[in-house]
Amino acid sequence: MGVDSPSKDQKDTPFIWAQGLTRTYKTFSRQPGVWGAVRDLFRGGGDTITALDGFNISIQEGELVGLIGPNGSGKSTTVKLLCGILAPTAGELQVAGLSPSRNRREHVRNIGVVFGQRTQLWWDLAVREAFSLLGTIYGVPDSTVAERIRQFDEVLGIGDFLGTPVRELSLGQRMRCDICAALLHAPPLLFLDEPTIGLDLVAKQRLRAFIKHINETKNTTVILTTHDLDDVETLCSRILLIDQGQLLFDGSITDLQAQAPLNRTAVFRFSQPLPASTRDKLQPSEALTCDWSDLDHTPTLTIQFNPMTRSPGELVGQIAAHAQELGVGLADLSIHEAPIEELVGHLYRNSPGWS
Amino acid sequence: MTLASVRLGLNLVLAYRFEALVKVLSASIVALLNWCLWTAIFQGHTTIAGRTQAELTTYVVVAWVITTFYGTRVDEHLSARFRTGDIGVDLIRPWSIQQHLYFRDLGRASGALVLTTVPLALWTGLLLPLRLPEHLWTLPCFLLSLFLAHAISFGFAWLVGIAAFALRNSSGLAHLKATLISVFSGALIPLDLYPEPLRSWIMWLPLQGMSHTPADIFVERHTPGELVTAIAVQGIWAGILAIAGWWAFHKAVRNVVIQGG
Repeated sequence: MGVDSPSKDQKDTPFIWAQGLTRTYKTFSRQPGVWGAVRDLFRGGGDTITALDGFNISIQEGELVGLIGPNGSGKSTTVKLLCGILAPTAGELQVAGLSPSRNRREHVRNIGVVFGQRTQLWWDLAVREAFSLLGTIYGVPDSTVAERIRQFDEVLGIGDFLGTPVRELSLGQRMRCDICAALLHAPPLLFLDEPTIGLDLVAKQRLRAFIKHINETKNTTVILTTHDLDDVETLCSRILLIDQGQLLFDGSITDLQAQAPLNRTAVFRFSQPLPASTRDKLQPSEALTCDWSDLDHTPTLTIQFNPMTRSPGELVGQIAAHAQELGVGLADLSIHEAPIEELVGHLYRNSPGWS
Repeated sequence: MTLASVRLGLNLVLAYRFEALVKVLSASIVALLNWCLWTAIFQGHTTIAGRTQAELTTYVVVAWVITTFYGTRVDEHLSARFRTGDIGVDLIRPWSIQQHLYFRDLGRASGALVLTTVPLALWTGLLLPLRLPEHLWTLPCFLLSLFLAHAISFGFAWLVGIAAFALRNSSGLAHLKATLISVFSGALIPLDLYPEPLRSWIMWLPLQGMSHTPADIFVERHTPGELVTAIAVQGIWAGILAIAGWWAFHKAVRNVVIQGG
């Protein structure tokens, strides 16, 4: 279907191409009370807010792109524009030679979308029935649907709950099914909107491996929006960082590292009170910052480090070995990544135009 | 595609079989009540508004029983999808969502026909002294009229759903819709019992095509000429509502920021 339809302009324009892409919204604050609601009905105008401001992007087929940014930065608007759900206020946008909003019906055959926070399956249908209905909607023959389900099952292990109604699936199971549903018509472009939200670590890793697999074997272009920097680091070859409707960064993860270190924070809690001399010995030398605190009378060591120059495994191993030598019990250990907001702050500080 | 939508609607009815049973019970009570009421009113009369007792009681039973077929909740479904932003999922499919939901609701209605409407019709037909059709063509005309009644009901509910979203008030409008339908569709009493000029005004509304037209066809009120006109009026209304619904939907989609996410 959509996969085999090459567009005429594909030679000269990239797969996804946007020039001066702008989208504004009209908002109006609602007035309280019944009369307020009635007045609101007849009130025109309102305030205009710019969600996306003169955006230029160019993405080639087969790229795996991470779209990141703080809440309200314009990520969702970008995805909605690319899906054809919203029309741009100004500027041009082409996906596979089509305008997503003007050629919506044709365009949506080329895309698969996974919304992390809502399902596109039918609550009351069994997974298998939902897949077959989607097959009918996209005109994929039954035999092809069955073959693709078999392939997805090999990697994602969905075979056990094909007969289960969607409303009875766990979040992780539902997410796997949603991804399969988005790929059932083999679209050349896949959008993943917060695909790992709420999933446990094992489920996240399984999903990431599958996304990578699809990208590599089918040359599917993937655009991923996420809050989880881990998703971006493990998956994306290219990162677009959006803030306040503008493109703040476009490049590889290594480039991003150079501009704004994606530091990690490791927190170690020890099981007994420690004298200052022991504390000094436990501290690793190469960390960016080391802080001691005594929450609830348990000594806690907080370390910031750059995972690109200092491997987390080695760091943890080193401290655990030291603790054992000194006869100190390690009660708890956790590693956190820097939030996207911090990354954005770094970029603002580092780019000359913004300071 | 069309068939798949119909099957989806049918599946949803089967998933909630218990609801069908409850509907049979509640519709039975109303149908029985209507019958008792009109039997009491007819004490000492042979005709009321030009209708015999058998004809009128048959009308009220049929008019109510078919509400279980055409009664749709697509308004609630649609306004909820707009409200939650799930409409975005519908817009990334290569289909017309209006067409899909119409056929899906037709599937729902066919399921309800088998599980609710026919059982109701059977027991009322056996227990109550109803006036059954005399002409051969009545039944096919009645079924065609029933099909159009569903299309009108769908078109009306579709517009109510979009209005409910635009006005941010779905439960209030759902009640209003239910009231308008029970009063102006002829589901409770024949519309010609209303006083003038209300009666003439109601005849200009599409809602009469929901219960009044099919029920009058069932009791054979029409001359062949009137029969054709009545069905044609239903068809025209179904078409007007579908076009208005298409227009309203596109206007709503254009003006709406897809919420959430």
